Amino acid sequence: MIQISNATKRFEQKTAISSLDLNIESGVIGLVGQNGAGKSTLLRMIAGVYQADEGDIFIDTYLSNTKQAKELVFFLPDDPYAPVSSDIKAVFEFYQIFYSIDKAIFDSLITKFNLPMNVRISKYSKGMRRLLFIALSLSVNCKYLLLDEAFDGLDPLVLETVKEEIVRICKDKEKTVVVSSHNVTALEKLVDKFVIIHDGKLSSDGDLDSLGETFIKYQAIFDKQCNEETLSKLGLNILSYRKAGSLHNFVIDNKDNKDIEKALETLKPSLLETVAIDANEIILLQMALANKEDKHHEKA
Amino acid sequence: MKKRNYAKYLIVKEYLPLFIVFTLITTITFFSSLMASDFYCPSSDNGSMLALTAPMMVFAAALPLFVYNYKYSLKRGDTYYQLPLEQKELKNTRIIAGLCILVTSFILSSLITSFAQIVRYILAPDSKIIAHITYFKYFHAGYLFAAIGVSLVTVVIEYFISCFCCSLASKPISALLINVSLQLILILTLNASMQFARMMCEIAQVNEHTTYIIGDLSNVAINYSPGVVIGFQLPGYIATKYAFDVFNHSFPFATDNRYLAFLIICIVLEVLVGALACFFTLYMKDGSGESCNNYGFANKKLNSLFFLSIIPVLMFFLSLDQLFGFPDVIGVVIVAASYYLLFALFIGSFKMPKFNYAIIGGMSALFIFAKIALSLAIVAVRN
Repeated sequence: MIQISNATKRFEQKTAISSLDLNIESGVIGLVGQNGAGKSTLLRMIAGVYQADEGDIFIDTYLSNTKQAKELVFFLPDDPYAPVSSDIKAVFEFYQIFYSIDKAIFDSLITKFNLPMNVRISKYSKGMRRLLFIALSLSVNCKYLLLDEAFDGLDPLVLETVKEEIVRICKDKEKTVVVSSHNVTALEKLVDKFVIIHDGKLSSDGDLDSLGETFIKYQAIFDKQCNEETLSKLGLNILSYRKAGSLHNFVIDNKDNKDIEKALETLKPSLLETVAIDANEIILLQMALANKEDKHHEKA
Repeated sequence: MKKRNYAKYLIVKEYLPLFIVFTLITTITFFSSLMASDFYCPSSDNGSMLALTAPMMVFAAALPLFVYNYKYSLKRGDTYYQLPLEQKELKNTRIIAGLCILVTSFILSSLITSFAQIVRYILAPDSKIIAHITYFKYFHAGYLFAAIGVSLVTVVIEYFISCFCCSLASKPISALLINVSLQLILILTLNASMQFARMMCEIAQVNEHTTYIIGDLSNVAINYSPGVVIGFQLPGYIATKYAFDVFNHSFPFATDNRYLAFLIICIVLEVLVGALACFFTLYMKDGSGESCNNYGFANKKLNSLFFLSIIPVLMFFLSLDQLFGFPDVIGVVIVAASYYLLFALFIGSFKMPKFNYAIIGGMSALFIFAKIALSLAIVAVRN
């Protein structure tokens, strides 16, 4: 288990991670958040690249910056390093010094991803480089795998194959994977649990069902004049609002379990129906909720 | 096991191109220097050892930039700091592997060149005539190996000094600045003390012989290759005055007592600095990936210290070199340009805040004032 307790990381004036508590047990975890939320910093802290200014990070029973902890973790950074003028063989040889790598898995993934063997990596496209390092990280025999923006630059077809491979290999080898992305769609059908980071703090975590439990999305046509402010005045916690012609689309966070429809009746709706919310929207709404709460705290 | 495999990887893969390039450069330089020398007059061949040492000194100073390159980019930092090795293990493996290729390169180029010189001797038409009078003196194993040995020690010391400086930085340009600054301070400290001693002799009007000795020491030991790092001075000095001057003297290290004291001071200073650098380099903590690619020192507190202490000291010494003699425009321009370069290297940009221009201008004005004042003082004392 990865145990993060009260972890804080500061860079001069900026606090990148602030008193964060999080336990990562097993399965595939999606780490999401806006740009600059602290996702990469958190992954680097878990991998032992950065040291926490306050708090502790334990990988099983070892502190994250120890040799024993590092043996359990493989971190694939956003922009991975390959030795100068190296090819696939050279990259494999370099990492083989430090990690036990399953060559059969590595070779099969290289073949599956159609990566040319005798071409220098500097000649690879961004997507090909990503695929090579994804293949490498999946073949390394480490218990924990940290993937930072690993799906950037992959086309949708390849992305599906990669996701299938991650699920298959991690299930076989009982790996725990933490994959960060700002593209929530890319994480759909892959992750078991989302961890949302906002401004260096843990905003919320859980599976999609629990994260979207209190969100209700409506589309409505009202006889009375109506806008976001009118809806807010009804005491509703509006997370998103859009108007196209006379059709209003809005999402309400009904944490307090109010009788929303009774409240909306006052605006005399000629159409009022609930609409399904997709995964991407749930995560975006969670981020919007975190933003809103931040503003609320600032005001207070 | 991981450490050993990594060291092997470094030597065979990562450092190999550097090894080949520098061994070739050193061999060619040393070889051409020896070949161009007068075969029958070994005492005129003073530059040969410097031809071996100079490229190796550059190698020793540049190699740590590659040894510590994992600290100089975020990309490498992410990879290297997550590797399952203790940070000290990672750093020390890279340092030792670097030292191995440096020493091998040095020995290899010395052997190749010495072998070529022996072949040259054998093929010489009148080798039998010169065999007893010149060649064996010139190629006396003791002299040759003493010179090569001293040069090797100096190269190793230079490597550790450079390693120490490079370990403090988190960007190559900062490593270069810190490295050059430290070495300049070492050489300029000696230079300034010599200049001061010479001036004192002039003022005190002591006898010509004493003035000559101090002046000569300064010329030989310090101005032998002006502006070059301290490491260059010692082997050059030994090589010219002792190791190859065997035509006139019977034993290289006990010939001219005038130089012996200074030679010992130089060796002690150099070995002491090298030993300290070696100790700190191997035992110092390596930090973490967060400082990668930042300007200045990895330890941010040292930045202000460097800015407030070392830069003014460097400015002072740079001025001191130009301070003696009549005030001239070129001297002022050189000093102001040096200040500007120092600031630019430290900040990492040639565009800088107006405040820095004000400091550079102020320091240059102070330099002009000091230079005029000193010239007037010397003239007054002489009269």
